[in-house]
Amino acid sequence: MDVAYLPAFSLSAKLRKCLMIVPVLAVAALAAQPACGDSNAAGRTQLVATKDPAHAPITLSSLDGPPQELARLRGRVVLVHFFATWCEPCRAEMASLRDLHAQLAGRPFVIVPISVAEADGAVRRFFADDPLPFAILLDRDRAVTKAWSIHTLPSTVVLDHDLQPRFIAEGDVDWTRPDVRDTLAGLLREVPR
Amino acid sequence: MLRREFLRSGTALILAGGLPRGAFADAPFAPQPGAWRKFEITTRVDIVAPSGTAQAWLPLPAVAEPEWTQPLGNEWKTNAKSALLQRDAKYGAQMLHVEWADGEPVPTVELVSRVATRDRTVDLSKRASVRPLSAIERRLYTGATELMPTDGIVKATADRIVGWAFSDLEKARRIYEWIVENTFRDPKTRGCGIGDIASMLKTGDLGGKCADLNALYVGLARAVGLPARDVYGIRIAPSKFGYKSLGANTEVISKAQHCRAEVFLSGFGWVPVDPADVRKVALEEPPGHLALDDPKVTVARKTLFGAWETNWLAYNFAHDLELPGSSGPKLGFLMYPQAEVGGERLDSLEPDKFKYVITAKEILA
Repeated sequence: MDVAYLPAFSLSAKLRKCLMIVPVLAVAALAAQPACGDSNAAGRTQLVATKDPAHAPITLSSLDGPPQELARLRGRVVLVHFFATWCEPCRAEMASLRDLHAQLAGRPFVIVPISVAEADGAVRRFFADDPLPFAILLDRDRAVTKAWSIHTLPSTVVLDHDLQPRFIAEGDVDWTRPDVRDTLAGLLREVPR
Repeated sequence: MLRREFLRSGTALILAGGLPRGAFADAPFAPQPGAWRKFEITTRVDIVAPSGTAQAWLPLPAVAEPEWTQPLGNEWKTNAKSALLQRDAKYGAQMLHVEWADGEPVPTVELVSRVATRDRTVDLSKRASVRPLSAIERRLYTGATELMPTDGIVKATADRIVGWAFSDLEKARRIYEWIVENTFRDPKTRGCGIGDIASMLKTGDLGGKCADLNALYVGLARAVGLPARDVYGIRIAPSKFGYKSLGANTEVISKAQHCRAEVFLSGFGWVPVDPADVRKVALEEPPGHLALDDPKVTVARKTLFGAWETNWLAYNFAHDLELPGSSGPKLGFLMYPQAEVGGERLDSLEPDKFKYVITAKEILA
């Protein structure tokens, strides 16, 4: 049999990136460069401002400990971070999340990592030798991931102290970047004393 | 205490030997339904350091197609308190559900399954009289699943791919060729999909394995109304046609799981396809990273629309499967041994840690 035609559809890498960002863009990005068209090398994902309404409430099992409710974190800036241990950019990002946690210790700030559709045993084994200093939640059936319209791993939704989504990053972020720290510092200044 | 259970099937078969392992065949890659081959697959599970009550679910060969595959029965031995053959009502998937007593220090089970297979091909140059799908079958195999939505970006992509193609055969072929042409890992694409085909398309993360790529085929086909299904199984022997990447080249097949796809076309019936294996040849056939116009790839591309070499056994067609006795989530598919200890699901993708070993051998006359 001969192949006599070319595929009728293909996306350039640049256009694919735009499709990732467009559904959540409501205002201009904070970064000097537009989200679409970035090279997206390691950690260079931008935090894109959003005015999405609050997402569905989260109550998820944690890997070690009781189930966790997002609502109990009101009053703090929250990084809701969707990841999977098999996803290479997710693994690369963990180091900078640990660093961020250490840098903001004592501040009204919390990181909520959510493992997406993994066996508990896989997550436990991944972190066995180097546990995270914060609870890992388990979205075993992707219900929360889908309710929050997450398509990419890793993705992070940054919530203000009222648990309103303020920024979203689809891809791995270097949380030590000055522009990222400035963004978080701005949200922390909004937290009532 | 060990218990032994045995179930027999009465199917009679013609047995033939395959090529020795490691032999490189000069035969062109053109599977034909010749002699039946009989295989024995042994799955040995040893739950490591159980810290709670253990249970396991092992897939059994449950696809019975008179032209190319017949399950021949299963037997098992275990120190479990219970080992039951369970059958999923929706897809007919079968599994051995094993439950150990609280405090069992060394939970083990050894399952032996036997199956007969022969190569299959569909002559796409001439239509034949085939039984149409029932309404129930058509609904089942055109419907969406958790990991295969058929609306939104999946539908839009499928519509663009098939364009103005008139016949179902042409639509099926266009989707196949699109998968072959487009599913590669773009190094500029950072980030991974969340496991369903919509996120694959949205993120551009199209470099997955067989369960991703053939699910993408099935989802796109269903989105344009073509009945299609994944067929989950495991490679059990080397390729007779010399493709190192398309066979199990050792007796240990613990990581040789492979998912394929079929599309139902009136006048032809269920047509075997495997675009994921075309990508595998491109990526892994020595010396590796072959171009799409490499002869090894072009031959595989032609053959794997309409034919399968069945050095592979088919477990089932199931999606969104609940594991009886588990409080954990449904499985997107059942292709690996599954187990839980103290209600926590083990990692099926790490046989050495789980642990389990699967071996296959051909049963010669």
